[in-house]
Amino acid sequence: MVMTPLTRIATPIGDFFAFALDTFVAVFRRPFQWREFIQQTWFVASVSLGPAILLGIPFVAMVTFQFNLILTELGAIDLSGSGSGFATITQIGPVATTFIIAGASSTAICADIGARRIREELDAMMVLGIDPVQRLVVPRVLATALCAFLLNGVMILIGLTGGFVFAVFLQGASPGQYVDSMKLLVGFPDLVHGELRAVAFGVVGALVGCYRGMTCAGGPRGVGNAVNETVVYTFLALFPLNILLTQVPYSLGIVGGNH
Amino acid sequence: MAGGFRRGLVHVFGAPLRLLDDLGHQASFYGQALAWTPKAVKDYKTEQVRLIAEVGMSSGALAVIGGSSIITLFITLFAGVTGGVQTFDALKNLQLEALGGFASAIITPRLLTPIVAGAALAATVGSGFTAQLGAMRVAEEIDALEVMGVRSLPYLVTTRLVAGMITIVPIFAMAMVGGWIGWKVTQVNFFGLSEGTFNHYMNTFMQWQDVMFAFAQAVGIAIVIILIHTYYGYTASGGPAGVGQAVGRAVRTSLIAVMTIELCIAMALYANSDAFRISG
Repeated sequence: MVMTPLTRIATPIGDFFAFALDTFVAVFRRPFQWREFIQQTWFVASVSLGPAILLGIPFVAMVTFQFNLILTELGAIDLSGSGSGFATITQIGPVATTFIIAGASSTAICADIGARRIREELDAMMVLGIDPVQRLVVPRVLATALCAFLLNGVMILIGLTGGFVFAVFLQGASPGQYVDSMKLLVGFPDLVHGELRAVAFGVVGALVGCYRGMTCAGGPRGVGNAVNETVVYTFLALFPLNILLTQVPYSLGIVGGNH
Repeated sequence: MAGGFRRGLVHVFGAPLRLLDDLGHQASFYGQALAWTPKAVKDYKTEQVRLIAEVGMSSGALAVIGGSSIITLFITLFAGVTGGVQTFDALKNLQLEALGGFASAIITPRLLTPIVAGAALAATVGSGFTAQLGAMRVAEEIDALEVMGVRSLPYLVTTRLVAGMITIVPIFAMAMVGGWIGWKVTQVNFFGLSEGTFNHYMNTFMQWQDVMFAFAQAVGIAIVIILIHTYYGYTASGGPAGVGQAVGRAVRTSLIAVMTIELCIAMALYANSDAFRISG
């Protein structure tokens, strides 16, 4: 086949969607790999929790700090709770979760599966009649989705606490007003909305990591490039997906508009 | 059995010492990489020019989709659209949607571009370096350089540092323009905000100082990203699988470092600035 630039871009994308479909079908195939699922959940949580906390604090502090500068100028610093509640629950939580999923979990998954690929473990599994998608990919995707759900909770907690520390101790808001104004702009539907987006990003991140790991070329440069591309593709997928998942519920009137 | 217990104790209580050891190694690596700058600029001009082209355009599969500059532009463009969508809905609740231009003028240079472009550059430029240098280390190419009498640190690391600092500023400028375009197109062309209103509030609250500060952050993150990523690549071990793990570790470390450095620079530059005035 002649590889024009278009086919060079389109072929891997088509391949990826076929792979995602295979994974979806394999989710319902029994027996489900409980042991692998629990091990992978533990693994993903252990590689991402530390970075999540360390990344979450400066990320949130930066946003709260800038927002409070505006509010101080307007003499409305007591409203800072509404800003941190809104920013954390609607965007910072899911986006920071995706940074962690892309940077920590997907890279670790890709490095792991890529190492198995070049040691020909995946070929050996297929020879033994074991489907690597069902045995390896499905537990990893579900484990990352579960961890993304929980990490988003951690991020929101860090966001609201970090916002409180910044606003109250450093920029002079009153603690009672901060807590009281927190639910001015957001409510429970926004929280559910954010959590669902975090789960979707977790699924995409894990699928990209597994796909790039399973298709990586041999040699040291192959695995390194595969991990590099995993991060890039996850970031590339994040923002268009985020816009779609943010705007559609607003347009349908499921969240927002009733405050 | 007793030996195992002792090894366990050494493992547990040695952890802080090993961490210190590792930090010391990193610090000396960073110091050397920076100290070699004059030699790298003077002696390795050809390599330097080649790397500048490579940082902007990338190599391999990423070059097919436009290289690091196009990828960063694409990511901030969509981040700008996200900002436009989210702030439009929030401001609409307060019946203040006319202030969309104000939100864009403040948020794009102060938050959106530093955070998003910082992460995108760590992912594209940074981890590309880790993969390259890691592959060279594992294939013993770095040792071969040393045997041939070429000092590998200035030749491989410092040249990349200089190339990154030169290249990241224009990429960052493109990323910021991308953020503004995404924001404006969303609010004006999709949500039907009047273009004149948007431009008015955008021009009123746009500050040149904010843009300059954002570039100070860009140079800061360029240095941090490239030092961290080259360190993990330069010290990779454990065969092809080790290179993959090194890239993962480098991304984790640099994302944290980028956010922390940006927060520090932002607090240092903005905390006492009275350039931001609404109430006069």
